[in-house]
Amino acid sequence: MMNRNVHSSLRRVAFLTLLISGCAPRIAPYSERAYENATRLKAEALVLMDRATTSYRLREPEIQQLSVRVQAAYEYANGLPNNQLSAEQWRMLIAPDELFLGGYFALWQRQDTLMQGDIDAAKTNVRKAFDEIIRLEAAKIRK
Amino acid sequence: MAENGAFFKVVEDGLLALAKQEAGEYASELVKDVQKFVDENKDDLLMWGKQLAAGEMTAEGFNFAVKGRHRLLRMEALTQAGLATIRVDELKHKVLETIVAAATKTFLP
Repeated sequence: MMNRNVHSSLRRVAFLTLLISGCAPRIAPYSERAYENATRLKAEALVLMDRATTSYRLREPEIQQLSVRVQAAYEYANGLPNNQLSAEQWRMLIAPDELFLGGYFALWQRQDTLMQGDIDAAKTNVRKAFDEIIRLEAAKIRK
Repeated sequence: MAENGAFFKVVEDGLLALAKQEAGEYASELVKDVQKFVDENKDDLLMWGKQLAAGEMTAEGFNFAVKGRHRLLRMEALTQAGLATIRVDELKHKVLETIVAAATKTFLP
């Protein structure tokens, strides 16, 4: 009788364990590389944005180089399984038709130079956008 | 200071007119959402408005900044969705650990 109860309990525990472990995590674990990408690129982006009082044409090589690095960070985030939320944040950051870094470079290109007031206002939003990416990455579960 | 009040009065009047004209039954919801956005970003909106008036910002730069600030709400929503998912994953992990601990304590000699 005792033996049968033990077996029944074991079966229930095994079933529960299988049930829960079968549900894989719904969001990617913390990635040191993604976090490092976001913090480093935030600093680089804010410094480069400040240079928009000079001609876009003069700064184009730097802008292209940074754009490639940010694009690579997006591709990395987008390639991680269950990482759609972070990948969408990166996409918004770099898209030229959005209102963050990619949009800022497009605005700079259209106007060739920007006023300091425009630069400071856009920097506030880009800083906050990076902070959202960093906040989400930092909260992810460490493996 | 009176200028600040005038700025927000213009925003409010414009918003109410737009809501009445365009939003129909959703007017009150729309007004509430936009007023919340304006309240939360009052300092920056005022500063940018003054810079625009003083010729320290361009109209396009002002437009980019205000719309960008509003678009940040989507970024924040993505973070909140992620944080909620993380909490569920953490809970599942804790449940699993509890099961394993209980099984070990109960069944192993």
